[in-house]
Amino acid sequence: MSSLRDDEISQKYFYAGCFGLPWLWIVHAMNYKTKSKKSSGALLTQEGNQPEDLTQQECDRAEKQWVDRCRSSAIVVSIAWLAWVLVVQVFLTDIFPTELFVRTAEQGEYTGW
Amino acid sequence: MPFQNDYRRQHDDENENQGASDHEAIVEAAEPSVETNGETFIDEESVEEEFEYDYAMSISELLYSTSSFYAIVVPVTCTMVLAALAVVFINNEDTVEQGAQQMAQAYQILKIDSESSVGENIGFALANGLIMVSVICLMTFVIVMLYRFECMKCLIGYMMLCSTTLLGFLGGHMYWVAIQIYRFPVDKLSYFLVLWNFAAVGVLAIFFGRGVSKGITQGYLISTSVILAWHLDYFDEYTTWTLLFMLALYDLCAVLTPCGPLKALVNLMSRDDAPEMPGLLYEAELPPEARRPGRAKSSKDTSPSINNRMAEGVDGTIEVPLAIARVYNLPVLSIPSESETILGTFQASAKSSNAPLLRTDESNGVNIPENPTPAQLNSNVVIRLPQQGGRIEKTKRSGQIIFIERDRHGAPKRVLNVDRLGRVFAESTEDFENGETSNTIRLGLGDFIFYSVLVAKAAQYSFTTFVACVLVILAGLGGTLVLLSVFHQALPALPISICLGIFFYFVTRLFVEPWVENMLMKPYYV
Repeated sequence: MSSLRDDEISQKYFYAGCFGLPWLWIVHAMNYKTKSKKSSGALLTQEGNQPEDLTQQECDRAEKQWVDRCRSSAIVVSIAWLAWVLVVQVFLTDIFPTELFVRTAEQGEYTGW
Repeated sequence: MPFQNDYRRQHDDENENQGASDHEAIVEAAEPSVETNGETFIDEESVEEEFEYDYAMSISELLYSTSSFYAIVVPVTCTMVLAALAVVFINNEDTVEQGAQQMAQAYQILKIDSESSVGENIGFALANGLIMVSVICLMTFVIVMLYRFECMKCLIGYMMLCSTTLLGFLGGHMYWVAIQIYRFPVDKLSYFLVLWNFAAVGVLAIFFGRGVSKGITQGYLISTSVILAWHLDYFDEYTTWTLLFMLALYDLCAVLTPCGPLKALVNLMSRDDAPEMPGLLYEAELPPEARRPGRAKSSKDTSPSINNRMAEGVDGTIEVPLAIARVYNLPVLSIPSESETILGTFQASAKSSNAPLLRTDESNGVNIPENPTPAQLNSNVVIRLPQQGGRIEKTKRSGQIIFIERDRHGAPKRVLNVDRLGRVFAESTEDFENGETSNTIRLGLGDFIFYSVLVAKAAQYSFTTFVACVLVILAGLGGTLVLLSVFHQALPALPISICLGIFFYFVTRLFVEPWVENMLMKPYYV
């Protein structure tokens, strides 16, 4: 993992987040936003021993693309989850069975006292 | 128990005795006499200079200790406070009783109950503590053996499993208890989704680190300590205090005695080629101006005293990956033994196919493949650097081997690293300098945990004992850091703080609090 480029890591994190890990997308997007933009490596070739800036730009572009996908997916999933929470809370016992909840509501809560 | 309760001064790129060795090197370099204008000065001046240097060295050590203390005190305090809050507010009488029963069934060989006398209970608690510490010692030896024989996949896999269990199951239990106590209407889907995200991202952050900001990683390490401290606090009073005392003694013996497992682990981890072992240490950043005594201030320093830099041989030869040799068109002299299987296989298959793929360096008699595979590009070859040209220096950064290209004057030009496909990438030296001069101090996660256990137990009694224990633990930690800068070797972080904590807990509980209550009950003025 330590030998992967930044864009490859972003790609792997995006695919890993598809397994129900929106928090990973959020954390990775936060990291991309806060990290300093440093030259993570220009490719050297045998001919002329000159760095190929185009390859470096492609790496940065690819990384930004995957991070944008992570950010967009995190926003979509977060909105979907908040909508689910609102639906569950509003239609608490009307639709959903009590077994859906971690803690079942006590009957005493509905006496008004 | 997967966490170690020792404090070691882990250097990023130096040995434990770096400060002492640098000091000795500098002292040895001091000329006994200096000639100026044909006159020779007597030794007394140089002796005074050495004395002044020693005096200045102790000041820098003190300043470094102070910076280290300020860097580590914030996370330690946060962990202790959070653990105390968790123990006090995410518990009620039923959960405490239930937890105590479960812990007693799981860990107590000799049962402690209220019907026995105080002396008997203390004896039983000491015996139980001895058994638990023995198991911890045995597990530590197993870890040392795995590390010694570089079974890193097994070791890291086990630690990842422990982290996942801790963050997922124990953290989930804590979350479940909070839901029950505060009656949060949480559905099971949200509950398991939050737990799955918390545990999976935590393991990634702690063991991989890349792509996740350092603050998140540190937060997860603190969460790990808080969750484990919350569970360990379910031990009864006798077991908790005796276990803490026995762990302090174990830490003392394990780190300082020659046969101690933690001393062996520290020595193994201090080697230049030691693999990184994530998940055990909390790393705190020091300010850039806080320099470790004896460390070179400039990253351009080409002093050979920095141990992690493997300089070239006297005949200008160095081992570099084949990819770098091809990029710079450097002549290959020979192939090391560890690369012969990778490069040798290609030679055999190419010979059998009668294809003219090999480019033979006739002057050196070494066969280099024309179109090497990624594995061949990553394998090392011995090359000779040009006598009048630049240099290539092999060094280590964050456990990864990198190469620094320097010009003929020794100034670094760029940093080279080879990826898994055998491609050579260059980084600017500014980024390398920033990474090289990063100052960090590391504290074992076990120290966080047992400080938190002590403070949380004190918080269960009263706020006064909680505050007293927090302050003395921080004082003990500061004292340990001062001793560390004096002795220049790995020291245990638990003994001073834990012993002070236990002492002041009982003093506060038995004397200070009753005295304060009496003072408040009987005013001195009319």
